[in-house]
Amino acid sequence: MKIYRHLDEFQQVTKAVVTIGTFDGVHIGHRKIISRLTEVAKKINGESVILTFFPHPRMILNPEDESLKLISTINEKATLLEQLGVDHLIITPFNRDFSNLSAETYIRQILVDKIGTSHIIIGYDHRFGKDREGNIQKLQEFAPKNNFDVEEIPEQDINDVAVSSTQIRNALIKGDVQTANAFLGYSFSLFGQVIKGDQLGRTLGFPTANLLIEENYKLIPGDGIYAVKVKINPDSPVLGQTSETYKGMAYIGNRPTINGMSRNIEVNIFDFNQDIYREYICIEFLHFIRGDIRFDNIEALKIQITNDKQTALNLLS
Amino acid sequence: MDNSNPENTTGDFKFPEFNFAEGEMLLINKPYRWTSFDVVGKIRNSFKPLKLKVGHAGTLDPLATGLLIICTGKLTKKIDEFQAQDKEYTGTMVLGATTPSYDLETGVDATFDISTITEEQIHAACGNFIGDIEQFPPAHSALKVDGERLYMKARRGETVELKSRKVNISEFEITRIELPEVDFRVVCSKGTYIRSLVFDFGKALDNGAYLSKLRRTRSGDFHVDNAYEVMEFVKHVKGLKQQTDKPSDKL
Repeated sequence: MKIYRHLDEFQQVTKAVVTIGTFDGVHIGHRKIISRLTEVAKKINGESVILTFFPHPRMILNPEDESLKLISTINEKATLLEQLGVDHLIITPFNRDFSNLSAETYIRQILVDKIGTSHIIIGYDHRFGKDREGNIQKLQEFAPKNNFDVEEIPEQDINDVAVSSTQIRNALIKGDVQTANAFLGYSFSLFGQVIKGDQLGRTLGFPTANLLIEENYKLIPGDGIYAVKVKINPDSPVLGQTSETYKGMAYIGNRPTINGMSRNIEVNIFDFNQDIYREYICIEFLHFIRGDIRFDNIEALKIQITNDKQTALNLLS
Repeated sequence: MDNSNPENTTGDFKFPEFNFAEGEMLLINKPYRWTSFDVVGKIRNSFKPLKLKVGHAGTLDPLATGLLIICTGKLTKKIDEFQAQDKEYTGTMVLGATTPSYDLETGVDATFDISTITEEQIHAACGNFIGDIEQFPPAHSALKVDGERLYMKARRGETVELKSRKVNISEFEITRIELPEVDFRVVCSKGTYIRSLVFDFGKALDNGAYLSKLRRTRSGDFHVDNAYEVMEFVKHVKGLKQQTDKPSDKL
């Protein structure tokens, strides 16, 4: 899959089969649309193109807004889309210029001239251009003279996407990773760099790796303890597919925040005692174990954590 | 090194007899761009189907090279001991600019005029860092999205809860000056952040600096000159395994 960091980078392809959307999470609702996209591209001997806007201005202006947090980072999204066989992914910033183009100009300049659209797959609720005047009807109106076909995504599928996205977000915020994963079709994960923590875990006999996530727009699951699987250096060109997956438990909470991150994320990796400071790891969330509890004394905390580990092992087996 | 045992040779390089399961301490020259964990993984994989404990005794960043001590088998118990040793590094810093990570993992975020810096000033600035000094670890690498900065917190200068740490620099000398590059050699206690040392060095000059090259030459009494190249070592282990159908015999 070719990835473009800006619309300007894209070189027109013959027979571009296009869809436009956020595809946040690339969940089961999205997959229906994407599989239709790749199916059409194959049928007409064209190439599938997804145009996605990132970053969204609202995200830059309101970085604290939880409702704007995304299920996938842009890198995760790209990886997921690549796995689905998409040919081209255009990631372009959404800016005023876009929103000021008239619908007709947008169609001509972007869809036709820039992308070379031969077939566009779009939903009833898709809007574009100045005052959001562009919609599927406008596309159908301008399609014949611009030589492209418009295919409408069934309304049910559009609604399914919205439902899935909402379900996933709500589930993650509550800590219900099982539901989230069911709607995602894969295990929700956090990817980041291991940084030094406050070493409390080590004194309890459960050393932890603190995770720093660079993308501050990534949605973090609700506070609590989770049973997880951990991959260290998953993208390592050196180790490739031989990277091992470890079992562990992750803690997400407000305990002293590290490096200005809004929440603390740390993971205790079972049967593992190596220094992985500054390495990158991927934590897959499989089960919620319990909520965050404040303990009055260290002994009680130790006992609880020992129980948590057993619970995690049972859940992960 | 056992010269009397020709079957242990790999090309021109002779390895000693090993007993990895019992425990070996290996000196490895970490390749550029490999993480320390990559080295551990590569070596552990080379022992397969035997599953041996392998660990390193002190991280080297991907952009650094040089001595990485690897312990196998029972000697993994000694990792903390090796990690506690003093280390020696050689490196290059670039004056006139800073990066958020203090090295090349992130791009330049500020530039400074270096036209007025003299060689005397550079040599003299070393003095600020000999002995016991306080260091803050480098703040995390700047938040980024495919090269585009999309953070707000870090840039708003929100206080970052990092604790300073006391380290000991026993030697710190400048070995070459060709502005903006300055080569140095340093001997320091465990836990020293060379990246922070370079960043602070730039500040001491009322300027900026980042680390562009780093090589660990020594850890305790062990020197990088005696280190194996990873792939040579891996090739040797493969050769050992082929000599018998029971890998545990030879490893």
